[in-house]
Amino acid sequence: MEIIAISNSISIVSVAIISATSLYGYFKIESKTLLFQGIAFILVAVGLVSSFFTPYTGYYFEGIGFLIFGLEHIKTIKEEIAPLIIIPYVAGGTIAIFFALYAGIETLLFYQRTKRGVNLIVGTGLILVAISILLQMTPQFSSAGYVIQALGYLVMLSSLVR
Amino acid sequence: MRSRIRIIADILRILGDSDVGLKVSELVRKSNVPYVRLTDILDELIKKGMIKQMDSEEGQIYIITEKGIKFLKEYEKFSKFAESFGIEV
Repeated sequence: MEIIAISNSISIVSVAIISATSLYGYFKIESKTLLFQGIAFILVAVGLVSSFFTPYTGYYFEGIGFLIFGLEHIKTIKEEIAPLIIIPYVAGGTIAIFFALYAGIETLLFYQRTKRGVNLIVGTGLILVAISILLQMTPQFSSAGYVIQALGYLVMLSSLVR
Repeated sequence: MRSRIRIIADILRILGDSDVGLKVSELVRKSNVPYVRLTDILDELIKKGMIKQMDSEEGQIYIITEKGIKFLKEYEKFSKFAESFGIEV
């Protein structure tokens, strides 16, 4: 139980930093893309915080957060992507997995174009987060899911260190 | 399609690369932005103090200001941040 709390706390802090950086960027250059990215990660953070109190309801916030993030990808990048099929298990979690995976794969495709290491790092982080949500919904792997989730957000956060 | 913020950054970059400032016709050609849209953006940038309009022997020219240079640096920084997440500002 303790490992879940620690991992979830690391995830919350990482997501909060990503969100704050995005919103700071919005105030600096008035980019709506950064505003939506900031809001998306705030919702993910709310989802992570609420999972401390009511398990699974947090997925709805994470789902909406990744929906916004995924829509920004669709709006700004428009890479071709193979259809992703995920069997619904928990509706909110499925939405979060779908869009985290979508954004992750698209970021990796974006890496092919830019050849910038940060895209590889963030894409990997997003895919780890998607995998972690799936694991969290599987009782046998729930703890591992939280650890991978923290790892995923830390990987994403490491893209800021340059 | 370039976003408005990206067009603004491109205009500021073009002006930043010029030592003597540029006329609107040169900006239209270099930025690939239609005249009407460009003048609208230039007015906005003047109001925000990022560029200034000056008289020269060849007519009116536009020059980037310190505020414009600072904005461009912030734009480059956050543009890279957004791109590292696979999205474009």
